[in-house]
Amino acid sequence: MRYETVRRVTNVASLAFCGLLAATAVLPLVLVLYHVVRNGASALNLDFFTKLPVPIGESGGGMANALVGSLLLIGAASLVGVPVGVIAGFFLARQLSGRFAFWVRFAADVLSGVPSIVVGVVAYELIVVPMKGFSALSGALALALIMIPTVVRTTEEMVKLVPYTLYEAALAVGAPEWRATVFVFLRGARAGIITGIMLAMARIAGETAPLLFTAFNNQFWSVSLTQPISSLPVQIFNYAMSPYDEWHRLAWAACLVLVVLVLGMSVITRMVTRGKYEIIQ
Amino acid sequence: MSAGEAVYVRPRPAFVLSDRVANSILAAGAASVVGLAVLLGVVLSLGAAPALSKFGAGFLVGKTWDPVAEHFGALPFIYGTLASSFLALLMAVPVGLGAAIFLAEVLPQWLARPIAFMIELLAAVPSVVYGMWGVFVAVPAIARVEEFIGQRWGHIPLFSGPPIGIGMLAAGVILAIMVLPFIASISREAILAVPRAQAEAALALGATKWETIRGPLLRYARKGILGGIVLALGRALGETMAVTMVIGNVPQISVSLFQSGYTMSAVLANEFAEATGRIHTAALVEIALVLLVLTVLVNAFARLLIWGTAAHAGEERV
Amino acid sequence: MVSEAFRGWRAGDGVVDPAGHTMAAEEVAGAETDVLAPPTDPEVCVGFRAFGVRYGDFEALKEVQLDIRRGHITAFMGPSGCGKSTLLRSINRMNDTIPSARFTGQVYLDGEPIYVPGVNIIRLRKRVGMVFQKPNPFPASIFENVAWGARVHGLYKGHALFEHVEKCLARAGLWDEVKDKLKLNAMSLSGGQQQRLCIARALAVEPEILLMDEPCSALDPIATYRIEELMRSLVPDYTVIIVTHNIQQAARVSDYCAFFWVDENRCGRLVESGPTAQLFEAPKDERTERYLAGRMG
Repeated sequence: MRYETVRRVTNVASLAFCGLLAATAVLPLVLVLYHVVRNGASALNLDFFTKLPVPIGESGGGMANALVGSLLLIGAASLVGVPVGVIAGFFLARQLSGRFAFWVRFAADVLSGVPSIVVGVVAYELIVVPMKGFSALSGALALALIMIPTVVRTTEEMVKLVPYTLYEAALAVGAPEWRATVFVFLRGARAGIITGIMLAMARIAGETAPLLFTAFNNQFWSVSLTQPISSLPVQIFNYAMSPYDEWHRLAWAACLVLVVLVLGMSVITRMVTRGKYEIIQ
Repeated sequence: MSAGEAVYVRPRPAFVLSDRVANSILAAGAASVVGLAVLLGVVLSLGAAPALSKFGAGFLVGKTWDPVAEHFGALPFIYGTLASSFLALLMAVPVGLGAAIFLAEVLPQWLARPIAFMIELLAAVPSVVYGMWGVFVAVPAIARVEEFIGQRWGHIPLFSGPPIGIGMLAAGVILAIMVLPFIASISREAILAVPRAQAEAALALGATKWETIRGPLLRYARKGILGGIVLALGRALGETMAVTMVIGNVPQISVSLFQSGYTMSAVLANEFAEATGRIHTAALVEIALVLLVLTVLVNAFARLLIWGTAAHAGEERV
Repeated sequence: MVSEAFRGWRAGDGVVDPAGHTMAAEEVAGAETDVLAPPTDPEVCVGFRAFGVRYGDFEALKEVQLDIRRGHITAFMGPSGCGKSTLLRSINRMNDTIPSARFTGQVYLDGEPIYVPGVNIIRLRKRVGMVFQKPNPFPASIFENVAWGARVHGLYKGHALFEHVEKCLARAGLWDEVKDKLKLNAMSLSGGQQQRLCIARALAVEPEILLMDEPCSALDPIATYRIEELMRSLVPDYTVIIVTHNIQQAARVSDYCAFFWVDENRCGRLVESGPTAQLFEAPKDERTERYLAGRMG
């Protein structure tokens, strides 16, 4: 009798403790969002989006150049990363077994686990050194490398969801394989692939480490691919580590923009795909 | 003549030029992914060659990092990376596992799913935002905790040092938050993948819910859970920005949680852009190479474990 | 287990569909007797009284009035979907784990009602062991599989536990086959061995009743034969209730039989019950007769 009571109490207490741990796990998200919104909203204004940074001591200024820089980097990275990722993903979805497919899958897995700063070092060695200077191009390629595994994985998953019988139906009409593939799989998986791409783009929007010594930073207006370029995350890092309150305020504002962008994208994706797409792969 | 002599041949596909072209494009795209992975290793090895040949294995155990004297030992960074990552796991594993149990077995799924998604969202927040939050919110709070602990147990080496918030403890806390979603999410899925029959067998014996979870359920899901933890370790090892911003960036090896440290990724973030001279750059590239090898090994191990559970998760579950 | 106790109780006993209630009364016990009265015969181990189960809007089983005799093997048989498994799982309240399950009527275990608030589910399930359709050993060693339940209930420790495990394995006819490899993972055993291990596991918590939900449906004929042999050896020490869709099996092993049918609303109903020989030789109901004839060839 007494032993059974102990068991019942242990049961309730342990499960309640797990509930407490679950609450603890949600807490950081609430706290981070709260502080980012509270500190960022007060510093966010039209100037933030339209003005360039001002020298130390002057108040005001914005991050227009960093905003445009981030967009440019993401765009250029996607130009490389999306085609390679989608094509490789397509290949994997059609080639489920075989030694080559195994190595492609393995390589995608390896790439997805490589720390982003290491990717930055590689981009530095490959592009910054030969070009003898930091450039937007090197940053974009680093980001492209980071987004490829994500795009490969989502494309593969999404294409696999398309019923194979549809493909056979297209072949039975007498279409060449590639026409059937494009027609059936690309159309069927289009929505899923695009969401995957958007999510990959949102993720590289927040990447800082690989840009530190590739795209570097630029206090001025620049849209050149061969020049250093400013970006939101690098700007946040530089401002956060500076001793000036004014810069801290701007960094918080940039954090808010970044968080809204990234989390908003994740939530929308989740809703559109009804939970089929996972953030953690 | 006789029926037994039939010869079977594989039908030869018609030559369609457009299909050949399309197939080569697909193969080229796939090959380039493999190529990029190989390139990564080759570029880092070439870049690190000068340091590799100059310091050899001593690089990994050397304790001094002096760019001026061109004397490079990476041990403080390796130690910092490992220590901060394990500290993070120490905090994140119980919380993540407890949350996973609660979300998989206690809460009804219509309520558990949105909460699990909220925890997963933690993984989407950019690292630099965690760094920002760490510097301006977490570090001051940690400083107060450190002061409190320091006044009472400051004589214990683990808690000695200035209570300034910045340091190993802060890095551990921020990293714990960042890897938590991996542990919670993967563990939850591993527990959900346990066949219903396992829980029924335990309940039918008269076990309580907790005994059922602690016994057969966790035992069945242990590979997947371990996989999640190892994957989280891989993330923690390579995490850069947030750690760089709160760990203090002093290349020292100290048992105290309150002391500053330095990690491999942090030294790359801080020094690579301004590296002086060939050997300094090569030494930093070698650190990147060590980091690459470490994370690839850890991630491969994690995938192996997670794939292992996915393979027999196909059994029925209501 | 607080929540489970509540969940099981929610429907309560007595919220019976009034029409159904009257019908059951007329059919089974005569108009004057209370259909919910507990069994008075001490030889009756489990008594169903106007018992019904529904999952959400789906009525799975209703108006079951049935007594099960102690120390014998009773077989529940009938076509699939007739609620025989649901009825079996009601005895140890395993249906409680399905959130949408609701109950009506009452089940008596040794004269005590089990669908009442505050019933001790842990002790109920300790008294009523269960073996499932597919062998479901824990992913642990053979020894651990048998020892776990006994340890959870705090029954034995140390050397006594080892002896208990040996006894249970022997009772399940498995000891000679596994005595040299107790540390081996249970998953490495064959299907039939796994099922006998599951029986040993159930015996280890010292139950009085053993529920078997189509225990041989995943096994080959030889393994099936061994399980059937084992079942015969368990009576009269245990009361065994087995669900089967295999008529020959019911004829071979059971002392008593209950035959179920699905009505036009896909709801399970008890058609008739009685000693196995009697039911097979002279079924009272036409449906039973046809089913037995059709299935036996």
